Amino acid sequence: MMGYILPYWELKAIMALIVVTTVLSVLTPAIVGDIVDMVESIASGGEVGVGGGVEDLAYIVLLPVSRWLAGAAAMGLDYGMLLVFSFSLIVIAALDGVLTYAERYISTVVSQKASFDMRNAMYNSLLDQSFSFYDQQRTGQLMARATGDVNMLERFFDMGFRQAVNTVLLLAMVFYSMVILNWELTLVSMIVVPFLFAATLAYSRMVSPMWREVREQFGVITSVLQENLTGVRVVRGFSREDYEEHKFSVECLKYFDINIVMVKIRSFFMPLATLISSVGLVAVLWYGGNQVISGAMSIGSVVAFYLYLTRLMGPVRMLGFITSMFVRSNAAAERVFEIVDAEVDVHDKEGASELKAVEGRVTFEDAWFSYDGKNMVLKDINLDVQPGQTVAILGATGSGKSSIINLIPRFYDVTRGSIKVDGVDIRDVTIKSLRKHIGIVRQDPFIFSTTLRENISYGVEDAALDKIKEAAAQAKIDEFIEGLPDGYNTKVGERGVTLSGGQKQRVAIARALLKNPRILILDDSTSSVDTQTEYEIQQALDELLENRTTFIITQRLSSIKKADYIIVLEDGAIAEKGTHDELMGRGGIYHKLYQTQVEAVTGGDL
Amino acid sequence: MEHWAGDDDYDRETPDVLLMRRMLGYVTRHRRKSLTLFAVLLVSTVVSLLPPYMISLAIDEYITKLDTEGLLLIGGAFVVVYILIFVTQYANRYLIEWLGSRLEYDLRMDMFRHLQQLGLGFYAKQEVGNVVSRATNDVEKITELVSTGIASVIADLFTLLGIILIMLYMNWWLSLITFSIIPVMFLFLFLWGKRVRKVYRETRKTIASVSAKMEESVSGMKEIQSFSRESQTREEFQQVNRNNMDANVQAGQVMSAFWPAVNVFTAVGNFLVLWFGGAAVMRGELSVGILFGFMNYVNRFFTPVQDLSMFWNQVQSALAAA
Repeated sequence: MMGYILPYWELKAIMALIVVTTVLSVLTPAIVGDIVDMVESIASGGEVGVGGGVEDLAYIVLLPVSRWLAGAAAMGLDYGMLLVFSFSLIVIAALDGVLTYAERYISTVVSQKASFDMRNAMYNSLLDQSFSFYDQQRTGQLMARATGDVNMLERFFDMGFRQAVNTVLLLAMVFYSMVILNWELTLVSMIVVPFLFAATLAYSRMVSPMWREVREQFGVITSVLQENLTGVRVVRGFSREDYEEHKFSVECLKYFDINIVMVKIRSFFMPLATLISSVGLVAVLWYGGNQVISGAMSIGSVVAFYLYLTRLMGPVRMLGFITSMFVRSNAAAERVFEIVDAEVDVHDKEGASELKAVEGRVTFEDAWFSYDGKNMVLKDINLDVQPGQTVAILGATGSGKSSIINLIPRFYDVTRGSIKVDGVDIRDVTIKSLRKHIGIVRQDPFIFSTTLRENISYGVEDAALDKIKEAAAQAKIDEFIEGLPDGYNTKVGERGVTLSGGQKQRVAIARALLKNPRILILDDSTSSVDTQTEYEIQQALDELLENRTTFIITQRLSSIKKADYIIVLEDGAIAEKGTHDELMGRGGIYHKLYQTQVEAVTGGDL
Repeated sequence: MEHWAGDDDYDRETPDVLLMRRMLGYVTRHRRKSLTLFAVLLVSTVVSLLPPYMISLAIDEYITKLDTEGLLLIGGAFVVVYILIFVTQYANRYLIEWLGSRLEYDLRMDMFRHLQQLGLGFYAKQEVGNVVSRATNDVEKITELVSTGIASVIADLFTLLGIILIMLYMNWWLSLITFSIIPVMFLFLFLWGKRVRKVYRETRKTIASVSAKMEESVSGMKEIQSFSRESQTREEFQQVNRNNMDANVQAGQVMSAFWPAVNVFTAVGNFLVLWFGGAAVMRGELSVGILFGFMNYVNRFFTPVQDLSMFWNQVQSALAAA
């Protein structure tokens, strides 16, 4: 985690500034103590005396200035000293202020740079992950990590780290200053320190396991909400609002309960820390008071002691805060780096070559596939698809249709066997060059919240507008787009809500047409569109399929009949393979499927 | 909440009073706990104001008069007061945090219910990431405002009033001299707060864009990878991410000025006490105990003012969230 901030040179600057500001802040109590001693001794008829403190250095400056001022303003040395000593508090605060400002500002820059780097690293990792990663992750959880957890780390880098250094340094400086004033009183006031440490430690031990739980539950809430919003149309469509509300409220209540347990601990320990430090103050007052009475110490020294201790109280209480912050940051860091360091299971082999121009022959050789390494989803698939051929893939839900098409662009890698394009194992070429030759149209394509023009030219950089229009025309979406007020520059609402399913699909077809790939994958398994749209999509598809090696998952009879051959999957294995006529003649699964399809479309009267 | 549309709406100005009243409405849902909290706050404020005055007493009445027995006695009194402070602070914190967590729950559920009733047109215009960011991160922020905010504002106002009364009682003319710094402080806080509000809004806007961009990428990852758009998307994300960093650095610039400035103000306050009060001690018109007690109260006096302005700043950030 620290690896993210250590490289910055600013870190050294912050350290240097902390040292200087800490030294400055230890000066003040001694000066106040001396002022008290001075006015006290004059009030009781004594002389102007200066106690020999640690801050000799300050006195070398302050005394001559006082003498000069007393002479110049024609006032007594006592008043001159009082004025100069008191005023020096403002000078010190101003100096300290300028340096502290620099320290804080630099610290912000460092922590912001660190979180910038972390978010980029996280995002880069997300881009590299294969589909198996996304099968396991929920978007909401990912989002919570990218925002909440990174923010947590940012705060730690900014505040926690600076405070930790500051506190340790201040403890050392104050201890030193106190010992010089009176070592016995120092020991008395330090009695409480071990107790304070013990309490802080106990606190962080109790709280640490809970923090991860809290953040995790927060992530759950986020993802429940996310899913609800993303699927808002489904929720409304099925009138599941009450169920959704109940689900959300259960998770929110759980979050509340975890928080309350933490609250109880926190509410006890924070005041406890104050109580313990207060005991130290009382000890100073009582023991120091007795010392003054017996003449062993001046009132000013006791006052200085008191101020030193109060100065420590804030940072020491901060210590507890920092410990808990450290614990929280650790949990957050774990969650962030889980993503950043997530292993990429599909990646370029070392020395992978570029896949140059291809004919489009696709071969499956004894291909087996499993998501979890145990249950085989595809079993011993053998296929040899010639350039330009169309293969229709049929089968029940879960028979492995989607798995087959996801293997070709390497969204997953085969578990056993191999897949070849033009005789080259796809694992021997770079993923990027492989995907360049493959076009994919999904049944529910993702439409980005940008202009239609950019959505269509998504796969092609700097595509000319005529090319885009041409693709749109071929996909039969041009009339719709040109009818919009901003034409091709119309922005699409998020997740394409303003486009109908058929329109989205045609935009995706235009996208694929513009890319002009040799190999085409169509996932069209459960289209539920009206006849007119069906007709239009069909026309667009015909345009798209021409001269390309095509894998198509569909229920459209017209598409199936046109296929060069059909494979029927059952439990991950190829059950039937052949042309429409061949399979109809065999009277097997395909025959049955065809009958039900036709009946569904025509109402049984064929 | 009915009106929130796009990003641009972050600049919308809703009367603060209205929003405050709305959020206070949530607190009154738990009336009994709120009232108990109020009472506990009062007691805790009063007891925590005692120690400095007791120290003045210890110095003037016992230490300078060489009374060891009296010193022991007042030492015992200190212990009793500190235990009282502990107990009231415990009750105080627990109630505050309980109410805060409860409010977070209430607010989140209300928002969710409202989202369930909004027309689909709303979802056409809103980015899911943006809405989620509001319902999660922003709700947390508002809660922070109420739990650490409203309660501590009440406590701070009591403390402030208490300190002013004690100081006036101890020495009225030295009090008036010391109070002269307050208007300057409030002027600074006012001007500073205005800047803070502006930079905060900007950071909320930019982090929402980061969320939205990431959310869109994750949802559209299949398309991104199918079309090998990784490097372009990466650049786009870095740009959004960089904007967020820049906005936060700018906010840091403004925020960093706060504590140094407050420390200088405190130092000026101490200077006034020591210079005028110290001179009075030398002339025999003031006791050392009172002088020290004054310094203690002056140092405490600025803490609630700091808190109040920190709260003001939190209000700014929360109002941007409501």
